[in-house]
Amino acid sequence: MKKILLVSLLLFLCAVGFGFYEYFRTNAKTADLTANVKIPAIDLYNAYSDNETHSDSLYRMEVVEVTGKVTEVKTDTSGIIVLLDGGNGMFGVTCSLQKTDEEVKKIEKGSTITIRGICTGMLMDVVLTRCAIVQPDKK
Amino acid sequence: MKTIIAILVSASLFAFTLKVETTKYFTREANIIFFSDTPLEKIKGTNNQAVSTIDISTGAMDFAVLMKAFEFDKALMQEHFNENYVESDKFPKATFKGAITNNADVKYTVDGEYPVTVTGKLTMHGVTKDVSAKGKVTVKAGQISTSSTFNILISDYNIAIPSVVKDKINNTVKIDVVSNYKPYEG
Repeated sequence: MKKILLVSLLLFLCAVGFGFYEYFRTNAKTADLTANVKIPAIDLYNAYSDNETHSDSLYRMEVVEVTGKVTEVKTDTSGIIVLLDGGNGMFGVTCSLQKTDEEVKKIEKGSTITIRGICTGMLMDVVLTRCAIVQPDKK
Repeated sequence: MKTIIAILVSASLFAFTLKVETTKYFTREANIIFFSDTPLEKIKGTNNQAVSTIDISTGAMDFAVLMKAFEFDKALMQEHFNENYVESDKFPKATFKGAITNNADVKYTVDGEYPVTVTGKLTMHGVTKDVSAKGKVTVKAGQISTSSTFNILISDYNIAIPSVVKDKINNTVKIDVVSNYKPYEG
Protein backbone atom coordinates (compact mmCIF):
# COMPACT_ATOMS: atom_id res chain seq x y z
CA MET A 1 0.00 0.00 0.00
CA LYS A 2 2.81 2.35 0.95
CA LYS A 3 4.54 1.58 -2.34
CA ILE A 4 1.40 2.44 -4.32
CA LEU A 5 1.04 5.70 -2.42
CA LEU A 6 4.69 6.56 -2.97
CA VAL A 7 4.53 5.80 -6.70
CA SER A 8 1.28 7.79 -7.00
CA LEU A 9 2.89 10.72 -5.18
CA LEU A 10 5.95 10.56 -7.44
CA LEU A 11 3.78 10.43 -10.57
CA PHE A 12 1.75 13.36 -9.28
CA LEU A 13 4.88 15.40 -8.60
CA CYS A 14 6.27 14.55 -12.05
CA ALA A 15 2.99 15.68 -13.67
CA VAL A 16 3.02 18.95 -11.69
CA GLY A 17 6.68 19.49 -12.55
CA PHE A 18 6.06 18.86 -16.23
CA GLY A 19 3.05 21.20 -16.16
CA PHE A 20 5.15 23.99 -14.63
CA TYR A 21 7.98 23.35 -17.07
CA GLU A 22 5.62 23.49 -20.05
CA TYR A 23 3.81 26.59 -18.75
CA PHE A 24 6.99 28.60 -18.22
CA ARG A 25 8.92 27.20 -21.20
CA THR A 26 10.34 29.91 -23.47
CA ASN A 27 11.22 29.58 -27.14
CA ALA A 28 14.59 27.96 -27.78
CA LYS A 29 17.35 30.38 -28.72
CA THR A 30 17.74 30.31 -32.50
CA ALA A 31 21.52 30.52 -32.12
CA ASP A 32 21.38 27.08 -30.47
CA LEU A 33 19.23 25.50 -33.18
CA THR A 34 20.48 23.63 -36.22
CA ALA A 35 19.49 25.13 -39.55
CA ASN A 36 17.43 22.80 -41.73
CA VAL A 37 18.00 24.97 -44.80
CA LYS A 38 21.01 27.05 -45.87
CA ILE A 39 20.25 29.36 -48.77
CA PRO A 40 21.34 32.72 -50.25
CA ALA A 41 18.84 35.50 -49.41
CA ILE A 42 18.34 36.21 -53.13
CA ASP A 43 17.40 32.56 -53.82
CA LEU A 44 14.95 32.47 -50.90
CA TYR A 45 13.32 35.71 -52.05
CA ASN A 46 13.12 34.49 -55.66
CA ALA A 47 11.66 31.15 -54.58
CA TYR A 48 8.88 32.94 -52.68
CA SER A 49 8.30 35.43 -55.51
CA ASP A 50 7.92 32.58 -58.01
CA ASN A 51 5.65 30.36 -55.91
CA GLU A 52 4.61 31.40 -52.41
CA THR A 53 2.51 28.30 -51.65
CA HIS A 54 5.24 25.88 -52.68
CA SER A 55 7.88 27.88 -50.80
CA ASP A 56 5.71 27.87 -47.68
CA SER A 57 5.64 24.07 -47.89
CA LEU A 58 9.44 24.01 -48.04
CA TYR A 59 10.50 26.78 -45.68
CA ARG A 60 7.70 28.02 -43.40
CA MET A 61 8.48 27.44 -39.71
CA GLU A 62 11.81 25.90 -40.65
CA VAL A 63 15.09 27.09 -39.12
CA VAL A 64 16.63 28.80 -42.15
CA GLU A 65 20.14 30.18 -42.55
CA VAL A 66 20.30 32.96 -45.15
CA THR A 67 23.35 34.76 -46.48
CA GLY A 68 23.01 38.12 -48.15
CA LYS A 69 24.01 41.74 -48.45
CA VAL A 70 22.62 44.08 -45.79
CA THR A 71 20.58 46.81 -47.49
CA GLU A 72 18.88 48.27 -44.43
CA VAL A 73 19.30 48.22 -40.65
CA LYS A 74 16.54 49.70 -38.53
CA THR A 75 16.46 49.96 -34.76
CA ASP A 76 13.30 50.71 -32.85
CA THR A 77 11.95 50.17 -29.37
CA SER A 78 11.03 46.56 -30.07
CA GLY A 79 14.25 45.35 -31.68
CA ILE A 80 16.34 45.49 -34.81
CA ILE A 81 15.19 44.71 -38.33
CA VAL A 82 17.81 43.84 -40.94
CA LEU A 83 16.89 43.65 -44.62
CA LEU A 84 18.95 41.35 -46.82
CA ASP A 85 19.05 42.06 -50.54
CA GLY A 86 16.55 40.11 -52.63
CA GLY A 87 18.16 41.10 -55.92
CA ASN A 88 15.42 43.46 -57.12
CA GLY A 89 16.59 46.66 -55.46
CA MET A 90 13.73 47.07 -53.01
CA PHE A 91 12.55 43.84 -51.42
CA GLY A 92 14.35 40.88 -49.92
CA VAL A 93 14.51 38.95 -46.67
CA THR A 94 13.63 40.85 -43.50
CA CYS A 95 15.10 39.54 -40.25
CA SER A 96 14.03 40.44 -36.72
CA LEU A 97 16.85 40.46 -34.15
CA GLN A 98 17.13 41.22 -30.46
CA LYS A 99 18.83 44.43 -29.37
CA THR A 100 20.58 42.54 -26.60
CA ASP A 101 22.54 40.46 -29.11
CA GLU A 102 26.05 41.97 -29.10
CA GLU A 103 26.75 40.74 -32.65
CA VAL A 104 23.80 42.78 -33.91
CA LYS A 105 25.54 46.04 -33.02
CA LYS A 106 28.31 45.19 -35.50
CA ILE A 107 26.02 44.89 -38.52
CA GLU A 108 26.87 47.39 -41.22
CA LYS A 109 24.87 48.33 -44.28
CA GLY A 110 26.57 46.92 -47.38
CA SER A 111 28.26 44.03 -45.57
CA THR A 112 27.47 40.41 -46.30
CA ILE A 113 26.22 38.40 -43.34
CA THR A 114 24.61 35.10 -42.50
CA ILE A 115 21.51 35.10 -40.32
CA ARG A 116 19.67 32.14 -38.84
CA GLY A 117 15.97 32.55 -38.13
CA ILE A 118 12.52 31.04 -38.31
CA CYS A 119 10.90 31.58 -41.71
CA THR A 120 7.29 32.69 -41.22
CA GLY A 121 6.29 33.36 -44.84
CA MET A 122 6.14 36.32 -47.20
CA LEU A 123 4.54 39.75 -47.22
CA MET A 124 6.47 42.22 -49.41
CA ASP A 125 9.65 40.48 -48.22
CA VAL A 126 10.30 37.01 -46.89
CA VAL A 127 9.96 37.31 -43.10
CA LEU A 128 12.37 35.66 -40.64
CA THR A 129 11.74 35.99 -36.89
CA ARG A 130 13.79 35.23 -33.74
CA CYS A 131 16.98 35.68 -35.74
CA ALA A 132 20.60 35.35 -34.68
CA ILE A 133 23.79 36.36 -36.46
CA VAL A 134 25.83 33.39 -37.61
CA GLN A 135 28.82 34.92 -39.24
CA PRO A 136 29.47 38.66 -39.36
CA ASP A 137 31.73 39.54 -42.26
CA LYS A 138 33.50 42.87 -42.31
CA LYS A 139 33.70 44.22 -45.82
CA MET B 1 12.78 68.04 -88.20
CA LYS B 2 15.28 69.96 -86.07
CA THR B 3 12.42 71.83 -84.45
CA ILE B 4 10.63 68.57 -83.57
CA ILE B 5 13.81 67.11 -82.05
CA ALA B 6 14.40 70.33 -80.11
CA ILE B 7 10.84 70.21 -78.75
CA LEU B 8 11.19 66.54 -77.79
CA VAL B 9 14.53 67.15 -76.07
CA SER B 10 13.14 70.17 -74.22
CA ALA B 11 10.09 68.20 -73.14
CA SER B 12 12.29 65.33 -71.92
CA LEU B 13 14.52 67.69 -69.98
CA PHE B 14 11.50 69.38 -68.46
CA ALA B 15 10.05 66.02 -67.44
CA PHE B 16 13.43 65.01 -66.01
CA THR B 17 13.87 68.15 -63.94
CA LEU B 18 10.26 68.26 -62.75
CA LYS B 19 10.31 66.81 -59.29
CA VAL B 20 7.27 64.67 -58.69
CA GLU B 21 6.60 64.29 -54.99
CA THR B 22 5.40 60.81 -54.10
CA THR B 23 2.16 60.49 -52.20
CA LYS B 24 2.68 56.85 -51.31
CA TYR B 25 4.57 55.78 -48.21
CA PHE B 26 5.28 52.35 -46.79
CA THR B 27 6.90 50.47 -43.95
CA ARG B 28 7.95 46.87 -43.51
CA GLU B 29 8.49 47.38 -39.76
CA ALA B 30 5.06 48.32 -38.48
CA ASN B 31 4.74 47.31 -34.85
CA ILE B 32 1.59 45.48 -33.79
CA ILE B 33 1.06 44.39 -30.20
CA PHE B 34 -2.05 42.72 -28.85
CA PHE B 35 -3.03 42.30 -25.24
CA SER B 36 -5.50 39.99 -23.56
CA ASP B 37 -5.75 40.75 -19.87
CA THR B 38 -7.63 38.74 -17.28
CA PRO B 39 -6.96 38.47 -13.53
CA LEU B 40 -5.53 34.98 -14.16
CA GLU B 41 -3.42 35.57 -17.25
CA LYS B 42 -1.83 38.44 -19.16
CA ILE B 43 -1.13 37.58 -22.77
CA LYS B 44 0.95 39.80 -25.02
CA GLY B 45 1.85 39.05 -28.63
CA THR B 46 4.26 41.30 -30.52
CA ASN B 47 5.07 41.58 -34.20
CA ASN B 48 7.46 44.23 -35.56
CA GLN B 49 7.44 43.01 -39.16
CA ALA B 50 4.00 44.06 -40.34
CA VAL B 51 3.76 45.80 -43.71
CA SER B 52 1.76 48.96 -44.18
CA THR B 53 1.21 51.54 -46.91
CA ILE B 54 -0.43 54.93 -46.81
CA ASP B 55 -1.37 57.27 -49.65
CA ILE B 56 -1.35 60.74 -48.15
CA SER B 57 -3.32 62.20 -51.08
CA THR B 58 -6.37 60.03 -50.33
CA GLY B 59 -5.73 58.75 -46.79
CA ALA B 60 -5.98 55.15 -48.02
CA MET B 61 -4.03 52.79 -45.81
CA ASP B 62 -3.53 49.08 -45.53
CA PHE B 63 -1.75 46.61 -43.31
CA ALA B 64 -0.69 42.98 -43.67
CA VAL B 65 0.80 40.79 -40.99
CA LEU B 66 1.95 37.18 -40.77
CA MET B 67 0.27 35.49 -37.81
CA LYS B 68 3.23 33.15 -37.27
CA ALA B 69 5.49 36.17 -36.80
CA PHE B 70 3.79 37.11 -33.50
CA GLU B 71 6.09 36.41 -30.59
CA PHE B 72 5.17 35.61 -27.01
CA ASP B 73 7.12 35.35 -23.76
CA LYS B 74 5.98 31.76 -23.32
CA ALA B 75 6.43 29.15 -26.06
CA LEU B 76 3.22 27.36 -25.08
CA MET B 77 1.19 30.55 -25.58
CA GLN B 78 2.70 30.95 -29.04
CA GLU B 79 1.85 27.34 -29.92
CA HIS B 80 -1.73 27.63 -28.65
CA PHE B 81 -2.17 30.98 -30.44
CA ASN B 82 -1.11 29.49 -33.79
CA GLU B 83 -2.59 26.02 -33.52
CA ASN B 84 -5.78 26.41 -31.47
CA TYR B 85 -6.97 29.98 -31.94
CA VAL B 86 -5.91 31.79 -35.12
CA GLU B 87 -5.08 28.52 -36.99
CA SER B 88 -2.20 30.22 -38.77
CA ASP B 89 -1.47 27.27 -41.06
CA LYS B 90 -4.92 27.72 -42.57
CA PHE B 91 -5.11 31.52 -42.24
CA PRO B 92 -1.47 32.73 -42.38
CA LYS B 93 -2.15 36.46 -42.79
CA ALA B 94 -4.31 39.15 -41.29
CA THR B 95 -5.01 42.23 -43.40
CA PHE B 96 -6.60 45.64 -43.03
CA LYS B 97 -7.78 47.85 -45.86
CA GLY B 98 -9.23 51.22 -45.08
CA ALA B 99 -8.74 54.95 -45.05
CA ILE B 100 -8.36 57.96 -42.81
CA THR B 101 -11.82 59.50 -42.85
CA ASN B 102 -10.60 63.01 -41.99
CA ASN B 103 -7.48 62.97 -44.16
CA ALA B 104 -8.12 66.58 -45.23
CA ASP B 105 -7.39 67.67 -41.64
CA VAL B 106 -3.83 66.32 -41.79
CA LYS B 107 -1.20 68.74 -43.08
CA TYR B 108 1.48 66.32 -44.24
CA THR B 109 3.93 69.16 -44.94
CA VAL B 110 3.59 70.79 -41.52
CA ASP B 111 5.07 69.26 -38.37
CA GLY B 112 2.45 68.30 -35.83
CA GLU B 113 0.22 65.64 -34.34
CA TYR B 114 -3.13 65.21 -36.04
CA PRO B 115 -5.99 63.20 -34.50
CA VAL B 116 -7.54 60.90 -37.10
CA THR B 117 -10.20 58.25 -37.45
CA VAL B 118 -9.51 55.21 -39.59
CA THR B 119 -12.26 52.95 -40.86
CA GLY B 120 -11.94 49.85 -42.96
CA LYS B 121 -12.14 46.11 -43.13
CA LEU B 122 -10.06 43.81 -40.94
CA THR B 123 -9.67 40.24 -42.17
CA MET B 124 -8.45 37.61 -39.74
CA HIS B 125 -9.09 33.89 -39.33
CA GLY B 126 -11.00 33.97 -42.63
CA VAL B 127 -13.52 36.53 -41.34
CA THR B 128 -13.81 40.13 -42.54
CA LYS B 129 -15.30 42.76 -40.24
CA ASP B 130 -15.72 46.52 -40.39
CA VAL B 131 -13.55 48.30 -37.84
CA SER B 132 -13.15 51.92 -36.85
CA ALA B 133 -10.30 53.22 -34.74
CA LYS B 134 -9.09 56.55 -33.45
CA GLY B 135 -5.42 57.34 -33.74
CA LYS B 136 -2.97 60.02 -34.72
CA VAL B 137 -0.71 60.94 -37.59
CA THR B 138 2.57 62.53 -36.58
CA VAL B 139 4.57 64.61 -39.04
CA LYS B 140 8.06 65.50 -37.91
CA ALA B 141 10.84 66.77 -40.16
CA GLY B 142 9.25 65.14 -43.20
CA GLN B 143 8.80 61.80 -41.45
CA ILE B 144 5.27 60.42 -41.26
CA SER B 145 4.21 58.05 -38.52
CA THR B 146 0.86 56.78 -37.31
CA SER B 147 -0.37 55.18 -34.11
CA SER B 148 -3.62 53.77 -32.88
CA THR B 149 -5.07 51.67 -30.08
CA PHE B 150 -8.35 49.87 -30.52
CA ASN B 151 -10.25 46.82 -29.32
CA ILE B 152 -11.66 43.87 -31.18
CA LEU B 153 -13.81 40.97 -30.01
CA ILE B 154 -12.17 37.69 -30.92
CA SER B 155 -15.61 36.05 -31.06
CA ASP B 156 -16.30 38.33 -34.07
CA TYR B 157 -13.60 36.42 -35.94
CA ASN B 158 -14.92 32.93 -35.17
CA ILE B 159 -12.12 32.29 -32.69
CA ALA B 160 -13.52 29.98 -30.06
CA ILE B 161 -12.17 29.95 -26.51
CA PRO B 162 -12.51 26.52 -24.85
CA SER B 163 -14.44 26.70 -21.57
CA VAL B 164 -11.46 25.31 -19.64
CA VAL B 165 -9.43 28.49 -20.38
CA LYS B 166 -12.34 30.96 -20.47
CA ASP B 167 -11.04 32.73 -17.37
CA LYS B 168 -7.57 33.13 -18.87
CA ILE B 169 -8.40 34.65 -22.24
CA ASN B 170 -10.32 37.89 -22.60
CA ASN B 171 -12.78 38.05 -25.49
CA THR B 172 -11.84 41.72 -25.84
CA VAL B 173 -8.34 42.09 -27.21
CA LYS B 174 -6.56 45.44 -27.24
CA ILE B 175 -4.40 46.16 -30.27
CA ASP B 176 -1.63 48.78 -30.47
CA VAL B 177 -0.32 49.73 -33.91
CA VAL B 178 2.68 52.01 -34.55
CA SER B 179 4.05 52.64 -38.05
CA ASN B 180 6.95 54.82 -39.18
CA TYR B 181 6.68 55.31 -42.93
CA LYS B 182 9.13 56.17 -45.66
CA PRO B 183 8.47 57.22 -49.27
CA TYR B 184 7.61 54.40 -51.61
CA GLU B 185 9.94 54.54 -54.57
CA GLY B 186 8.74 51.47 -56.42
